[in-house]
Amino acid sequence: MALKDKDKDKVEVVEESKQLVIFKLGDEEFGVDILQVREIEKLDQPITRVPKSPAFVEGVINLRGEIIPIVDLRKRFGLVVRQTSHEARIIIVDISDGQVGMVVDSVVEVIRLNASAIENAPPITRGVDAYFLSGVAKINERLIILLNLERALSPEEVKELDALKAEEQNDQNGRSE
Amino acid sequence: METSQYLSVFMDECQEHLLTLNQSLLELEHEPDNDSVLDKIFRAAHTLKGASATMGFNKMANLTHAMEDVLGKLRSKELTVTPELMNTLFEAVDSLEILTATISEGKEEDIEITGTIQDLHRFVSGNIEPVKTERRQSLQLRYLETEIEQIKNAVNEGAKIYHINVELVEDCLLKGARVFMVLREIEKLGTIIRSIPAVKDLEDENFDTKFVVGVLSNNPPDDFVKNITNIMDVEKVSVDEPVLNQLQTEKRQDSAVDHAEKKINTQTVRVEIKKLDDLMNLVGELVISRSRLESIGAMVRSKDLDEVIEQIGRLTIDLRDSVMKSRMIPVETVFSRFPRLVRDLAKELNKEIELEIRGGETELDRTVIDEIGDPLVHIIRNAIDHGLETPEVRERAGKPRQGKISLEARQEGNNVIITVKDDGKGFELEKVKEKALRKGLVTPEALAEMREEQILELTFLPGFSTAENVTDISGRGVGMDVVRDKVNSLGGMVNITSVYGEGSSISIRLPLTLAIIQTLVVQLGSEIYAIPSSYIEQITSLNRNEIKRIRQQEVFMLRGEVVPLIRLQDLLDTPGAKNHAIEELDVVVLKIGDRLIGCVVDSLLRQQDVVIKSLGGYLGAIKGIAGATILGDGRVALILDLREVA
Repeated sequence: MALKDKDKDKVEVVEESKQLVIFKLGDEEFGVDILQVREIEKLDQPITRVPKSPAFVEGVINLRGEIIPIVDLRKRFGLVVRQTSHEARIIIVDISDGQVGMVVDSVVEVIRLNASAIENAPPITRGVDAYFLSGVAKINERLIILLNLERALSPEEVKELDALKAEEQNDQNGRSE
Repeated sequence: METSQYLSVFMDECQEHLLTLNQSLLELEHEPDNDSVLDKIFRAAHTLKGASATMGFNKMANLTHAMEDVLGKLRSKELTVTPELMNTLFEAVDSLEILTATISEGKEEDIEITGTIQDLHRFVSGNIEPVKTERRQSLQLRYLETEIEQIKNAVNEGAKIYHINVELVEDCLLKGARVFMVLREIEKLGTIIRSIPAVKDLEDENFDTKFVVGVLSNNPPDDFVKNITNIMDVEKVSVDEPVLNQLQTEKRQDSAVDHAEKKINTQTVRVEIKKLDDLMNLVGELVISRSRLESIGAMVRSKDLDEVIEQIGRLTIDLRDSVMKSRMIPVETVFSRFPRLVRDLAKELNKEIELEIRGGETELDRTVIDEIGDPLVHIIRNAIDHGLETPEVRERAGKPRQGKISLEARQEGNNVIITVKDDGKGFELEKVKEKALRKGLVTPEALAEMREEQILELTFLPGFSTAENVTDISGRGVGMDVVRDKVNSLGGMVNITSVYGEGSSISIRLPLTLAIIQTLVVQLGSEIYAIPSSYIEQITSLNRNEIKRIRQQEVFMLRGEVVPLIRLQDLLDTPGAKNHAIEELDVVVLKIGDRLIGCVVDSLLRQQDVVIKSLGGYLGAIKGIAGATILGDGRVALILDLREVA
C-alpha cells in the first residue's frame, strides 16, 4: 500500500507541479525552477571586477577552479541597489551560455507549486519588466515573481534594454522639468 | 554497437595515410624507379581500402581499390610512371582528402568520385577481376613446415585435421566478438593450428565476412557445425577434411614485412586530445594548489614543511613539463602539406620553385599545430603568387630561373619561430605607402614618421588589399590581416621584413604551449592583474620628473628612444589606483610588434606561472583581456592582452 501511495505522489510531481527556489531581492520574492539551479554559495569570497563588461556584471569568482561570472539582478532589473548583508547569497544557475551566478539578498525556501497556480505576468510587476519573467504565482498573500533566466541573464539583450531605460529616464526627466 | 567510437581513430589513420600518399607520390614523381617508395604508396592505399571498407565507407573503399589496381600494375611494371598517371593519382588523393573531410561531417554520399575512378581505370587496361580471384585464393590455409610436422604427428595418434569455413552475415557489427566466440567454441573441441586471416587480424576485424580455421581434433566434424551455427550472426559453417599430403606451406617473406611494421606501431599509443586536455587541467589545478601551499608555508615557517613544499614544487614542475611534452607534436605534420601545395601552385602559375624545409622536428603544442596550418598556407601562397617572379623575369633580373622558398622552424626560449622566406621581388615601399594613403589607412603625417618596418606592417591592416588585384603593386596583402588575427589569437606575433628586388621574409613567433604561461603579476588599486611575460620587454623604474609630455601624451626616454607611457588604470577603468601619487614609478615596458610602450602600475608583485582559463561564453571576448587565472589565495586575477588596446 505504502509503495503505491508513493508512486502516486511521483506521478503528480511530474505532471502538475514544479519545485522553485524562492529568493528575495529587496522586499520582493522571486522564484527560479530548481532544475536550473546548480548550487547556492555564500557571498564570502572576493569578486574580481571585469573591465569593459556590462554594468550589471559584478565580475567573476573562482568556484572550485571554475571561473563563474556574477550578475547583480538588482542592477539588471533597474531596482534600488543596496548594501549586501550577511544573508546575501550567490545562486549558481545553468543557462545556455554556461553557468552564471546571481547575487540575491537572501534565499528563502524551496516550494512546490502546481502549474495551474502560475499566471502570466502583467507588463510591469513590482518594477520588473515582464520581458524578464515567465509568470507570477500567488500563494495566499504572497506574490512570487518567476524569472525567465535566459532572458533575465542574457548579456546580448543589454544594449536594447539600456537604451530603453535611457529613454524612460529622459522621459521622466522631461516630465519633472 | 556504435561504429562512431572508432570513427576518430579511423579519421586519424586516414590523415596519416593521406600524408604518406602525398609525400610518397611526390617522391615517386622525382624518382619513378624507386620501388620502395612505390611499395609505401601501395601499402597506404591498401590499408585505407581495408579500413574504409570495414567502416562501411564504400566510396572511399572503391576509390582506394581503383588506386590499388593502378599501383599494382606499376609494381608489376605493366605500367610506367608518366606525368598523366601522376596527375591522376594526385587527383585521386585529393578526392580522398575531400571524402575524409566529408566523412567527418557525416555526408560521404554527397561526393561524386566516379570520374576519378574512371580515370584510374583507364590506366588499367584489363579489368579488376584478378584482384578478386587473388582474394579467394588467399583464403587458402597455408601452414609452416613445423606446423605440418605437428599435424602429421597428431594424425598418427588418431586426431583429424579439419578446415572449418565460417561465414558471418554481411552486416555483422561485432565481428571481433563473434570471432572470439567462434574460436572459443572451436577450442573447446580441438586445437587451433592456424587461421586465415590470422587470429590477430580476425580479432581486429581485418577481414570481410569469411575466415577459415585449421583445427586438430578428436571430435566429429558435425560437433563443430552444430556448436558454431548456434552463435549469433554466423551465416554459414562448413568443415572440410583436407588430404594431409596436400596441405600447403606458407611463403615466409610476407609475414616478415608485416612483423617489422607491427613492431614500430607498438611504440606509440594514440590518445584522445580531450584526455590530454583533462590531464593538463589537473596539472593546472596542482600548480595553483602548490602556490597556495607556498603561501601557507611562508606563514607557518616550519623547516620540515618547507622541505616538502620544495619537493612538491619540483615534482609539479616536472609533471607539468612531461604533460606539456606529451601534447607536443613536430611541426613536420603541418610542413609536410607544403611540398604538394608548392608543386601544384608552381605548375598552375608556370613558375619554377624550390622549396626548402628546415626544422620540421621542432615541436609545438597540439592546439597550436592545429591552428597554424591555414595561416602558413596563406603566407606561402602569397609568396608564390605575388613574391616569386616567372622564370623569364628572374633571368632578366640576373637571378636563377628557379625561385626559392624556404620554410624554417626553430625554438627560441619559450617560443617557436616559423619563418617563410622567398627570393622574389620583395615589397616596393613607395607602392605600399601610396596604396595605404589611397585607401585612407594612414594619414600622410603619420606615414612621414614611420620607419620601414612600420610601413610594411600596413599590409596587415584589414582592407589593405581586398578591393583590387594586388599583384600590380607586388603587395602581399591578401588576407594578411586574417593571418595576423589568427596568430594573435594564439598569443603569437607576425613580423615582416623585405628588401625590394631581393625577396621578403615573414616570421611567426608562437608560444610553445598555450595552457600555462609565465606572467608578471602586478597590482593596481585593489586589483591584481597578470601580464604575459612573452611581450614584456623589460621592467624599469621611473622618477616622476622624467616623464615628459608630447601633445597630451605622457612619454619617457628609454635607451635614447621616446616611449609613450600609459597609466593602466585608464585602460581598465580601475578605481583607486595610486600611481599618480607615487614618486618612483614601476613601469612595465611592453613590446608590441616593434613598438615599445610603457605601462604604469601601482606595484610589481611577482613573476608567476599561471594557468589560463577562459572567461566563458557568457562574458565572451573582451578586448584587452586574454582570460583569467586563479591565484594562490584562490582569488581570480585577469590576464591582460594589451596588444590591441595599448
